[in-house]
Parts: sequence; C-alpha cells; structure tokens
Amino acid sequence: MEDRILGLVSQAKLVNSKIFSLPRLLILLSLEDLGEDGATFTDLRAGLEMKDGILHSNLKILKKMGYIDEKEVELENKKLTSYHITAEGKEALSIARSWLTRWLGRGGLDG
Amino acid sequence: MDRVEKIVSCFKEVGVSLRIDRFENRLIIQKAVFLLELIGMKFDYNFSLYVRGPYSPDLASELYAHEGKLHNMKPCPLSESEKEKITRVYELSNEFEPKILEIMATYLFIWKVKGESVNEALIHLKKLKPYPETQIVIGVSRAKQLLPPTENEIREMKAEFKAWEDVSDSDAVY
Repeated sequence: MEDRILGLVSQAKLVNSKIFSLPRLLILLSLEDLGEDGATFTDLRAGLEMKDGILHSNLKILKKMGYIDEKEVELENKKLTSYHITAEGKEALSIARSWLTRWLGRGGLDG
Repeated sequence: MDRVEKIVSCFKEVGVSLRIDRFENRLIIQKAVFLLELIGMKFDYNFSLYVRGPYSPDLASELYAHEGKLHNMKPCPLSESEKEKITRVYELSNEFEPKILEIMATYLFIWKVKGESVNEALIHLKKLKPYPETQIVIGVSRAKQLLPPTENEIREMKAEFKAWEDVSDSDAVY
C-alpha cells in the first residue's frame, strides 16, 4: 500500500493541481474533442450547463495557465470568441488523466 | 471517390464552394454532412453530440488534411438520389443558414439518434442551442420536413400531446 501511495506522490509532481476543478476539467475535455474547431462561449455555457460567471472565470484561469487560447470568429455577421485547447493544455490534461486513472486503481497500481 | 471528394461534389451541386477557412463554413459542413448521413447518404463518419451539437472529429481532421486542395477538387458524379438529398438539405436550411442547420442537426440527433421523445428532444435542444424561439420553431419544423416522423413516432406524439391536453382540460375546470 505504501508503495502505491509513494508512486502516486511521485507521479503527482508532474500534475498541475490547478487543473483539478470540475469546470476546468469539463472545459478542457470539451475543447480537446473539438480540436482546431474549438467552441464559443455560448456553446460551452449551454453544453456544460455552466453559469456565465463560473465559465468566464475558469476560461480566464485556463487562458492564464496557457492551456487554452481564443480567436475572434464570425457567425451570421456577429463577432464571437472561440476557445481552443493548446498543446500545453492537451499535455496537462493527458498527465492529469493518467494520474487519475492510477489513483482510481485502473492503471496498475504497482507503486 | 474518397469521402471528402464526395462532400466537395455535394456542395458544388448546390453552387457552394467548400472552404474551411472560416468558423462558420466549418460549422456548415459538419451539420450538413450529418444531415445528409441521416437521410441516407453514405459517408460513414461517426457523429457524437458535443457542446457544439453533432460533430465528427474524423470529418474535421480530414477537412484540415485536405485544406489547401479543397477548392481545386473536381466534382465527381453524384446519383440522382444524392443530388436530391443535398438539394433538400440546402433548401430546407435556407441555403445553409448556420443557425438553422445547427438547430435541425441538433434536434434530429437528439430525437432520431439518441431516441428521446419529440418533447424531450425539444427541451434538450433549447438547452443546447439557446436561440430565439422563432429560429427554434423554424429549425424544428424544417428538421421534421427533412425526416418526417414514423407512424410509431406519430402515435407517441399523440399520446404525449394527449397527456398535456388532459392536464389543460382539468385546469380549465377550476
């Protein structure tokens, strides 16, 4: 058991703990699926059922972390902001996913 | 003909040049291809419901892979039935109006693919696409014209509407 914990502790050093917030994980997962196409604020708010304030503040944090970027796009002559996951964001999500899998005991907790 | 060539041919059939340089164009392609698949055209892309509505990451990757070549691709021959299908999607969506396409595609995904009832699909659609009511009404009506309900679905709808009518009748008594 001790070895397992030590393994988790060791791998945890690679994880950015700021990623572990439900809204941030949901936003990153959604944007990972959409790749270069990204999603607008409205898409994310409606699809993830998040309040404006929560979505806005978490997008701001993710942008500051360098995990997402934004572009101005046009839809039916209206300017919108589209959000995209960055390479750093994909990497951080992958590390977090791997650590969580290990934490859940599904990735072979061998210490 | 590969499937991207087939999409290029479909768009050329209705006089639209396939471009993916703009967000709006990529949205139109995703939704139009989904609707074409749904009414029986064979592209074999897997669509799932994402925050943007029905979306296929494979389709997106293939379009990006062909990005520089799309406007130079020569259209391949389409069957009469395929021509009729693309024309129907084009006309019903007001010549590929993005929001109407989004509503049609999202509603039909929830209703026909996820198997939710007509009423549930409408509620779900409004959550995912919080557009003005008039656009929702038009989009849903066009979706039903594109893929009319089966007899079984009509029976379910009637049963669902009857429950609402009964509630409304009982309210009227008081």
